[in-house]
Amino acid sequence: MSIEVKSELNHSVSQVLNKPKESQIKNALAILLSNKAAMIGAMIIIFYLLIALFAPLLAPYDPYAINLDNKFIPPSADHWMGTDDKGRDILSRLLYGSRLSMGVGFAAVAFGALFGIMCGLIAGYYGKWVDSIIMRVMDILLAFPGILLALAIIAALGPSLINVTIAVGAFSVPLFARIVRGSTLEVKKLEYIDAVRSLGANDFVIIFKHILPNILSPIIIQGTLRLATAILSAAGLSFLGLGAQPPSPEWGTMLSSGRDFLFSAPYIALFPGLAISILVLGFNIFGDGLRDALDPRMKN
Amino acid sequence: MAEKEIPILEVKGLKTYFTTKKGTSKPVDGIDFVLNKGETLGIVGESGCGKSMTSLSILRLIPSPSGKIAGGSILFKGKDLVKLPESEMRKVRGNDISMIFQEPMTSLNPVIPVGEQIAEAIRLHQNLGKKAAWEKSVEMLRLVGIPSPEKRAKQEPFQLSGGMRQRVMIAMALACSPEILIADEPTTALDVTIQAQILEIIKNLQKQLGMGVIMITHDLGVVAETCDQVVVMYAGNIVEHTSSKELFANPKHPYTQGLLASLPNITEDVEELRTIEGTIPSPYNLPKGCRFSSRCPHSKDICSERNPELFEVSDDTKVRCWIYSDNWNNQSKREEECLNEKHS
Repeated sequence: MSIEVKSELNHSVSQVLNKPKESQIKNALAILLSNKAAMIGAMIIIFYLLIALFAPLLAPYDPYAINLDNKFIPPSADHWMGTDDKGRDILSRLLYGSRLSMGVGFAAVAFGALFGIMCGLIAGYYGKWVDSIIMRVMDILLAFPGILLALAIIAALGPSLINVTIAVGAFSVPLFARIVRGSTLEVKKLEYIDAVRSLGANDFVIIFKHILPNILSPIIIQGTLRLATAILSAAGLSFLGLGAQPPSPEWGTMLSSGRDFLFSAPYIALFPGLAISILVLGFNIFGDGLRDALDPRMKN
Repeated sequence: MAEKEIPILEVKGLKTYFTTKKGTSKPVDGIDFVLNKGETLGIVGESGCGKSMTSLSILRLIPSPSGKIAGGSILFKGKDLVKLPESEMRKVRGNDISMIFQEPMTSLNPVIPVGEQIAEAIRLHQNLGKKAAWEKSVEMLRLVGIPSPEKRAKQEPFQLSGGMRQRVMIAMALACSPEILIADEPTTALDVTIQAQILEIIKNLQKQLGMGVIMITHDLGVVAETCDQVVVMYAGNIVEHTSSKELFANPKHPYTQGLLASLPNITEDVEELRTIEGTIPSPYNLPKGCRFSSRCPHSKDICSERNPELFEVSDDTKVRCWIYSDNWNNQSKREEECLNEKHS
């Protein structure tokens, strides 16, 4: 396997010599493409993204339409995943719900990454007391178990999907900050930073043009892996009734409403549960593959 | 020329100190020199003697917070750089004074095409559009002798060899036609054949652009090839300041003599190269007297008691050594007398 990867690599390197740009990206892509698990992960993610994008076209029924004559229908030709306690088509609800669940995940990670990267860059670049203050705040955030912190934030802000996004994002902030700070410390010592400073560049240019692009790999890796956790946490919070409220087809909420019929109609909870697990698995194995491809040093 | 031209750079009593938990280190401890337009000044010395810190001090790029310019002045065309606010200093860097670093392999941003890096340096100081800056950067690459510069400009640093990258660094440093170029060991990391080419490029561009060059090196061959005047540094002090010719023909300071003696001689067949015994004193714990006294073959009592000043031996030569003072002969006489007394 490793030999295969190497030959792929050599191949891509020789290609690179003829085609200058996108060199490292090509390199990483070659490693990523040869990683079967990562490719399965990528396919899962793409599949889900397509579903979210085309949900209205794919859904056979209205996800909110209550039809009490049709309740508790097991999976059948008309309703592939059956119907729930109010006669709503589970498949349609799942398809629409993918928009909510994935949307919350992406928004939360984007929020966490934005603040985390800022804090990490500033702490790492300026050092001294700025670093101490920012990183101690991050340590405090990290000291809470993630879900507990999210619960506290929602308790303060009130239950809603937006607040879940903020809460889940908040406990990603310190993780991004730590990774970005570490990489910044490493990169800012390199000679080319001195070189651009000797040319008269200011801190803003140095941080955003010369440091940030060089520490993107760990950020992308962390982002992908955090997406899995964020989706899971958001679904968990909705399951507890702190996020999306019924009749919203958010997967956690659907799981929660299926809980009461676990013995009589297990399919109501089964399908949202499966949807969450497979997506989280997809992000995790893709994230691992991405890490191997972008940062070989982090392997093991 | 009726009047003497104002020098473009005048360093007076420059002191750069580092304060750490171990104490205060003094890598640059009161140095003076003058650089005129179109002239090349060499700063020579072994590792840790303060030559790189001198150059970083001129651009005010000493690692903070531990490092600080503790005294002295750096006059650039009469303007004191030590007192300049940071925002003004940024305008000087790259525009008036630029620097080439020792390690071409790590001195370029690995993810940005080299042409864009040069263009960025140009746009930091000149009000040029993206396209104009790009064209100028290609022009700069051509100037430093890179073949097919249009193609090379689009490449990333890892696609260029060490010599190429050093040329890119030179192009970047010279993009805004600075008046002073500081070259911090520009050839140390390169092959000997490439070294000569790079020095040649710097020399030619200096002629074309009329800039002053400060050549920092531990390689006396580079000095012989490029420099007009030379400053020899030892443990944060200038120990000899002379013309390049004088340095090789007639070295005055015992340290300089030792340096030249340790060069391999092509006509001699020796088993081992000559060295200077001992090591440079720690910058945290400098001796009270002459800093070279512990390694000096001529050392006398006075040497370990007081650090000599720079004695002017001739018009263009200054030496920091008691041998060139009047005291030296008295000392010798006194010692002789002592010896005679003992004998009798």
